[in-house]
Amino acid sequence: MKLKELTINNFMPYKGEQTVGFPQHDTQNVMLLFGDNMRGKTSFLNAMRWGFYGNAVGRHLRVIPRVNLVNIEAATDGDWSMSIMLKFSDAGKDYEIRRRIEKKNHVSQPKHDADFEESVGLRIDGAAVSGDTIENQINQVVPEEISRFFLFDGELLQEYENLLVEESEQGDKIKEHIEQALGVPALIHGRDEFSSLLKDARRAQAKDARKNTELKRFAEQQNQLEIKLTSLEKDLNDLLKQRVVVEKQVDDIDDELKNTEGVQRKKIELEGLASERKAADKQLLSLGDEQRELLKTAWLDVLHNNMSPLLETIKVRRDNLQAVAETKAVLSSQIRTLQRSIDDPTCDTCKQPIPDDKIQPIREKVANLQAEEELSVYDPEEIRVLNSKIEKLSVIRSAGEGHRLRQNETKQRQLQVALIRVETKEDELEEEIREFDTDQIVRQRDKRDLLKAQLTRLDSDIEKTKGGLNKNIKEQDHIATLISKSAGGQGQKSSIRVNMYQELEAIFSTGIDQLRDGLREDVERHATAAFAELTTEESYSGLQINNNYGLSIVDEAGRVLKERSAGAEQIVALSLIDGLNRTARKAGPIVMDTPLGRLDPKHRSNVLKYLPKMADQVVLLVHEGEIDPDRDIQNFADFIGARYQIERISATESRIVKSD
Amino acid sequence: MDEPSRIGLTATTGSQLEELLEELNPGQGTEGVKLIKFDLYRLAVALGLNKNDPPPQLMEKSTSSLRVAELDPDGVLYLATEHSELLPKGSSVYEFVERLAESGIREFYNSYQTMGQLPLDKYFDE
Repeated sequence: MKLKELTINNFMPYKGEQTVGFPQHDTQNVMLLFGDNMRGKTSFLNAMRWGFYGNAVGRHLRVIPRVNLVNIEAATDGDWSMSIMLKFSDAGKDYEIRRRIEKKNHVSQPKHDADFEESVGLRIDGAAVSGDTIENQINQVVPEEISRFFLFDGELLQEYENLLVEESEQGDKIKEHIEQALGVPALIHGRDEFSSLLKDARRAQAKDARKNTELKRFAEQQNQLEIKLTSLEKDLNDLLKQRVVVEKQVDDIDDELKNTEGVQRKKIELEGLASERKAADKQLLSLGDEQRELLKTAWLDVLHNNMSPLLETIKVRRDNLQAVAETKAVLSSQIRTLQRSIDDPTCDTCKQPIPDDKIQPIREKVANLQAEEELSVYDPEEIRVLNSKIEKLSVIRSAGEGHRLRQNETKQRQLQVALIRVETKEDELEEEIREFDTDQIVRQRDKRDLLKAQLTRLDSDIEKTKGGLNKNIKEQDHIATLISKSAGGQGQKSSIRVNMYQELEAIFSTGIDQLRDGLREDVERHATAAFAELTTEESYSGLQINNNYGLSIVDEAGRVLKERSAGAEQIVALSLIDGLNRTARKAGPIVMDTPLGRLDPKHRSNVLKYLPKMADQVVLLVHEGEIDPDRDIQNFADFIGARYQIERISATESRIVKSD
Repeated sequence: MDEPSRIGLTATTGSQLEELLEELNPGQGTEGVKLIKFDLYRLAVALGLNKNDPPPQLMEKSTSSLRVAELDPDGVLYLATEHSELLPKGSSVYEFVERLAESGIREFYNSYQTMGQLPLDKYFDE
């Protein structure tokens, strides 16, 4: 199958009619559609899905209501019609499918899907196909079951990780989709058909057995088991329905919470800012106290600086006076000693009289000393006054108040600046989340937790009921065999039927297992081949598939890698998609929305080189963060057959334009 | 020279001091260190002694509300003023202290009114 042209009219952000031509060249088979987030890449993918199958899907693969598919601007202008036209070719035939919805005449403001009229037309080689066979014709070329793998959303690649988790609910869903794509349901339906026939046959057998006295007991047991089985089936059905309801509630809350993730982040940021503000306020109070404490004694620091020279002068004066007083005392002592020698001229050592010629110089010395003593004048009162002043001035001690007050002021100023910044940020954040009910977010989180707990309980009940069902069926099988083998039951038509359906059911069950094993081997082989080209790590030897189609990386020594990076996960998921695509169908296009989001440049380069080989036509819906229009494109410029850009006209309107 | 036993501020400056204390101290009922009149009075005198010119005469009569024995128990302000070159010969030391305080408190008040804070950077310029 090869895509030729897509014409979009009023679909989601695409107002009016816009046509995109797909590359037709065998080697230049890649089409690039660049678009920023929220501009309409996923809507482009959905336009194709809707054109083929009449449904567009959003998050959790939930179908988007028709009313949301019509471009808001067009609807505001009163145009409630929307259409998609797809041209493609397959096996030498040209196909043209047109799908259109329009508001019913009697509806003024559509709200529900039923408020729209849908019309679909298909032409093959120009000839119109009758309405009731259109779906069948489309499914022969592009079966809806495999659409997940050729129209796929790269942002959901992460979901494939769930396949590695045994009994993961999301993993089970994906496994179901994979098996649908791979054709397993054909056998599963066959087995289920025989199970149903077997049930009827057992009932008929029990009815026959009731007529036989010997088998009556078995018939009664079988009857009881069947009543129990019906009740278990009803219980299981109810539980599964409940599960769907609860799961939808969880999904809805998840969507709501995802939309308010930014608000939640801001709320947390606000809480952080509030604590920061509180801490700054507290610190400012403490600095205020410190400042006042310092101001109480700051006058002493000022005086200290002022009075220090005076204190020094007084101290010098006092010291000088004290020195004079000491000199005077020494001189007096010397004079007294010499005067004693004059008054009593006898040697202290030999007790001999000192001659006069020796006494005369002593007399002269005393005279000199007395003259000197008379010159050493001081006022003891002055020393006392000076000492008193020194004592008072010594009270003026500096604790560096001035310096500390300046430091304190600098700190206060810095804190006030920081505080203003915090308060401004708080105001901004408050303004940004003003319209959101943040308490509601908290309530929704709590509700989600409760619902998750309810889901766990439901899963446990479902498992228990399934166990009961299996046990019941085994018991019924056992009794049916006993009846068949008994003398009264042997050869009876109903017993023959039971035996036959039991065998057929077993054959189909074995067939399912064998088909699954074979498909898994194929998927593993194709995925490993793709992985070898995509990975940058040479020591990896390949991929290993599990029962759920989950793929693990295996190293050279055959060991399974326990941890892998986000980039490696994306490479493995892309390999799985390639493996599934090649296993499910022979050839065809592949349309990928945002497939390179988590890849480093080396992996991105490998993927870009490999993509042209992945399918006959590759349509990549990317933003410039994934593929650098200048640098990355060089890696596969030779394969690009067409290049488009989604341009923003307004928040609700985009336009696709061809670029060079 | 007889020294007064009480000194103070003019009525205007007295109310300015009251107002200033209200601004600088934590709000009523709030815990924390509180300044009293003496604290700013002494600081005003000490800063005044650092200046090059003597303060002007009081414009009006002061209300003598502060006991000198309480304001200057160790006579430190007296001593510092007594030795200041700003003190006019033959003047009463504490009367001069009063002039210094009057001028200083007015300056505190005016600065606070203009800048919303005391210019501590200027007062304690290193």
